[in-house]
Amino acid sequence: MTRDTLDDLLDRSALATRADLAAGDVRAMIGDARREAIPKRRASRLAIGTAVAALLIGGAGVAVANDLLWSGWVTEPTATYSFTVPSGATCTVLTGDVESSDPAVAQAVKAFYAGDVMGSADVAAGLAELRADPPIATLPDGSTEVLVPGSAHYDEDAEYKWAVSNAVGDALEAHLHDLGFSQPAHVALGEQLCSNDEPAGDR
Amino acid sequence: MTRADDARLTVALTEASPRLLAYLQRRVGHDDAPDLLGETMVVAWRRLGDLPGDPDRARMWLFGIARGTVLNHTRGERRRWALADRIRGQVATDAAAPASDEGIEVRDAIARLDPDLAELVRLVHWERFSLVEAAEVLGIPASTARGRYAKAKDELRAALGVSVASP
Repeated sequence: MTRDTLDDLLDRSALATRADLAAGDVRAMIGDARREAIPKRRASRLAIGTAVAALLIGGAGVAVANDLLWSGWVTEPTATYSFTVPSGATCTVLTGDVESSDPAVAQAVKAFYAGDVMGSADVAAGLAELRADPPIATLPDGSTEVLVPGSAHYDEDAEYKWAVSNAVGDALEAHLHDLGFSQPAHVALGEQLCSNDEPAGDR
Repeated sequence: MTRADDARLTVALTEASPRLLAYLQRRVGHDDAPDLLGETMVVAWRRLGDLPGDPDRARMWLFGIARGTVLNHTRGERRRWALADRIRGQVATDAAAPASDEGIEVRDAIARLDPDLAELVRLVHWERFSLVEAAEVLGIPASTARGRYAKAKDELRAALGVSVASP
């Protein structure tokens, strides 16, 4: 397409803008938007929850999740916590990349993860919550399946991991409120590795 | 939704945000642009399952969402997004800088075009999209975009009294 005088006039007519966004602000804003978009009940455990969501459908889902574990997604690790799933395998969760517009909240979140995380998490309550409001998997053919004991793609270990994630999220939320933070908005990421995960190939 | 999708959208939003904000500033002004950027991000997360796999197409997809927020804005649907507070103060300071008057006559001529033609011209010349990319943002076939673009330029040449001579 041959450019002409009009093209130059049109190019120069753009209003001047200032979009020098700080990378940290953009990153935090993206996290805030994600929390806004995801149902509030699961917001505090989003990052871990999404990984477990892949695990819950079993089979191919496990492989997908494995490819991503310890992938560097958590760039500033805070701490790890471990637990045992019904099959006897041990799972370890790496937490980190904690951000908040309130530095005191971020510090409190980091302190929580560095402490006795599993000691404060009510996993039984997390399981009960999941059974009352079970996750729904979208299968490769587009159909959906409610993941409850007895359903085709139900995975007891995966359900337990999700329950732990929910319980930890609830414990963290309660901890922050106990400290007096009324709107403890924060973003934290996590990655999970279990002793019975399939090998991650050439990772 | 998988973690891979989550990561891809995070990357796409991170890379596109400066251009999205500039686009929104040109459409709705410096004051409201941060809110619409916030709304764009929220809508993008809600539609994560529709995120294209190709990074360039993902960028177009985000601009399409941003355009939707602009259309809602012009219909009077406004919402203050707390998450936009992070950049609102910074942009408000920047807004004190006077806009260039150099192109005011041209901008007025663009504004008098049919809205579909005007948006196509803005996407190509202000946001520096190719015609194919602009067509994708607008959700129209590339052939339709080419026809509209030619019509828009004919009307602008007439309105501005510009010859076809090369610079």
